[in-house]
Amino acid sequence: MNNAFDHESMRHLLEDAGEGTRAAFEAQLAADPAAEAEFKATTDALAAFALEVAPEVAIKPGESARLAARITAMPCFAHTREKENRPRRRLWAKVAWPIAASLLLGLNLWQYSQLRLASAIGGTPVSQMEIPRAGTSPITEDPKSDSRLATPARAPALAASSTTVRSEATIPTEDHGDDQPGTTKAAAQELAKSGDESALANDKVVGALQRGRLVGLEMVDPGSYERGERRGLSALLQSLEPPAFGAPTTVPDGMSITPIGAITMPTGSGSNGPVVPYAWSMFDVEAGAGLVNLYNLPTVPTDQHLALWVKPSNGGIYSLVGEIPSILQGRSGSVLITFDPHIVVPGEVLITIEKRDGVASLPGPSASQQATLTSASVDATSAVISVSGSLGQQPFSANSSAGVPLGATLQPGPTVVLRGP
Amino acid sequence: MPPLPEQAAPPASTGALRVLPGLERATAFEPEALARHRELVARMGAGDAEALRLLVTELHGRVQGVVQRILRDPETACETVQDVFVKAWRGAGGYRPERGEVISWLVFMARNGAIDRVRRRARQRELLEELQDEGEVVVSPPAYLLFEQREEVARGLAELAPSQRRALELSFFEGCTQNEVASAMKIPVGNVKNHLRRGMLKLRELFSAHE
Repeated sequence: MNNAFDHESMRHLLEDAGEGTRAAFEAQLAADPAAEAEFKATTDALAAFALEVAPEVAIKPGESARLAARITAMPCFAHTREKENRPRRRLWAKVAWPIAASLLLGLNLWQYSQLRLASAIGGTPVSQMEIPRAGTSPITEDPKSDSRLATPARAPALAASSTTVRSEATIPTEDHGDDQPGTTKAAAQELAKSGDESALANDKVVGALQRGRLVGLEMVDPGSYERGERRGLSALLQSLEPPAFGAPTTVPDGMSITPIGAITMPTGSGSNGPVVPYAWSMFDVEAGAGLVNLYNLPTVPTDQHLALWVKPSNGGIYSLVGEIPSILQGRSGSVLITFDPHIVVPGEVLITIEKRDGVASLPGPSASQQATLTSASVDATSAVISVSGSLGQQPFSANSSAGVPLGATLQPGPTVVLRGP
Repeated sequence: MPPLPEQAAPPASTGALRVLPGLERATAFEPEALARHRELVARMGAGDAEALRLLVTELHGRVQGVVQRILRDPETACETVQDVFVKAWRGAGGYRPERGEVISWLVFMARNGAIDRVRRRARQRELLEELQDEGEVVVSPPAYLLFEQREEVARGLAELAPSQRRALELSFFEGCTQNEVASAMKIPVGNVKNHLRRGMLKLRELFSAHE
């Protein structure tokens, strides 16, 4: 082979070539077995060189097994394996799913048009569709709550004491036996969407870890809390138009949240868990990532969203990180927070309800529903997190089956505060 | 092909050599190992988790070595190594043995993943500044010379000219582009290209001579 091919081989291996060049080189390799053999020789020779210059590291006994266990416990692993083992679809299944998807898409569009229509004529904001669950009263909007929402200086709370969220503050169950016919379709739609988004969420988590996606903070003037204003938030809030999860489309530099595991149930199918909104976190500070596990989140009107704020561990002020994915509203779930530990380490996490129009204000200073962890552990094999603690006077135990793609080095993370008015 | 130096008899415990003279620890390139790795990756492609565990067990230390050489931080290296094997699992179905051995595939995934991490943390700029501060081209003692027991390896790699070796190291382990290598070594880009190509051809000679 010639000089140019040798150079291109090295650039290809060292990822020093542009997309177009890479594609052309790949095509050349695919078309020319001799070139492919030359390329293999270069690949193996350079790898051998690297292995010589960088000698093998002695691995502690059991460390490789732990690494393999961590990988096989990752959501992407199960997802891929399920995909590989999935039996071949029959022809009718290939046709049925597109039809079902089209119907669901049509329903979505119809609902969206109704929502836009209601907004256009100045009607009452339409709340998100909920899946009726056993033991859960129908979700209604509390007019009192709405009046508070309209108050510029106050936002509604996630606290159990708030009447706004009391009806939603029920642990989701799988019993849909009492569903009305009209809502069964909606439930199916919701579940299908949930499944797709969960799979996508897993990919996004792994992708975020692989890319080490770092996102920035928008710092907020602490005095703006007292003044009932928040400087600099408008632009950021306006950028929070949701693609799939309500996550920011433009990721700022410094920190991000990513949904992981749409449904995370407390231990015992929720029977022994508190039915009020609460949350706890587990962080791997060195890895720059942590899980915030949220339980019994309320459903908010479509013109509002749940915002996640972080206060740095070295003090300072709260910074808006992003939006809790809407898929988690009215249920429990986890979000992954990634950050650059060299820039900021979260010291406290705050969840608030904010308006989407960018003129929201922070809720008042009283805090409630603050979970205190007394013990926490990560199963090295399954990577399931188990914690116990208290929520006020009420003890609770819970686990997170969302998976831990971070290695089994998590420690109890910063306190998660759900603020009320 | 230039004559290779006389190879010292390997220690009884290390077995046959293949890649470079005296490369006792190059078991990753032994034919049996190569075949075993290919089989494991094929099984991974079919969804066999046990194959992944076996591959990790066998090659963890080697991948860790490459990553650690680049990142210089064992803790961060562990995360990258995990990423490498995750990628291997996800990409096992697309692995093409005609493009390189499994160990080579992993080595380049490790290298490129580690370099990405370095670049993200802006260490690249710091490195270049350090290198430029060095003034004249400084060819540091090769890492392998630190291991006296690997003198045979040194003889093999010593056939690389210092400038060739330096250019290869900067490209591979520091993630430098050819322009950056030229800047760091204070030589024209054309010379860098020559060093890289000749160095690579030398490596291939050494490699193929012992296949």
